[in-house]
Amino acid sequence: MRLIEYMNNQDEINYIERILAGETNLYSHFVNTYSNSIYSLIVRIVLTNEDAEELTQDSFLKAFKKLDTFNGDCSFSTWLFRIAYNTAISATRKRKMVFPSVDETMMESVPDEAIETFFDRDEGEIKLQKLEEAIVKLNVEEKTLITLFYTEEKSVAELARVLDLTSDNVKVKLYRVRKKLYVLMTK
Amino acid sequence: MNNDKAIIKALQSTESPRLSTDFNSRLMAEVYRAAERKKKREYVLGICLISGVSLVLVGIAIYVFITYIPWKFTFELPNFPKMNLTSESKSMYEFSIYIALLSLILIGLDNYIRHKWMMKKSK
Repeated sequence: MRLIEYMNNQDEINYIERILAGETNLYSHFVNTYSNSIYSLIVRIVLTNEDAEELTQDSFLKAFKKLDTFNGDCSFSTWLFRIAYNTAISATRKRKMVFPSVDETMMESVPDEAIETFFDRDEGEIKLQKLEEAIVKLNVEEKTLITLFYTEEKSVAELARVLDLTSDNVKVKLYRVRKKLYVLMTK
Repeated sequence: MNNDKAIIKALQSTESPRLSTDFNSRLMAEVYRAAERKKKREYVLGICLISGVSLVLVGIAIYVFITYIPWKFTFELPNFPKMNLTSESKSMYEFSIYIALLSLILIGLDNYIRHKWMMKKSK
């Protein structure tokens, strides 16, 4: 773990200890720091702003109630993202959301080099628009993976913790998401 | 994989609308309520636990006194009638009443000390 990350983690553990000792107002530090990131992830999963705001609130309340179970073996944000992800997953299950599937053989036929060069460049409004539409069609886990990996810059190990997967599994899934996006855009 | 500029740009361009301006204050109000509920629950649980343990201890004391130990006590408390109790007493009423009063006093004292301690802590 890098020194800055370690320092941040220690600061956060210090905050948590003080909150557990009764300084509830310090929880606003976490709310101010992470509320927008958590909301961005949830709104991408549940798609409506009102539901996302409610689920963001639920996630923070759950985290507060379980604060004594946080043992500092990962960053607080990773732990919080895991709670938010599980909260959003439960909401999508209740609403029985359906996501389009992509033909496996179609995905297998896509050469790796094509994907590397395709996503490496960001030129073209139409390409970006198609990509945005393709992202909306991804399932919950896939959306979470790319949101945390590309916008929150979470490492593979942290993603593995959030999604309760192995690091190798995360790498494979990230690789497959890019292929799926390519297929959804080009078909 | 980190250099997938197109995906990063697409994710940024579909950036979600911001949370409502009073979201954080509303959330903190909920957090304070949850903290209060948690404190109250812990307090009630503590009282129940202490009461339970006190009753068990009193029960054990009574059992030991009655079954194994010959005893003779004289209690003289202000504003209370003088009590002479022996293990040969026919009636256990007075002794039972004394134990009940003692339990109530202990629970009341515990409550009073807890209340004082919590007031001090909140300051």
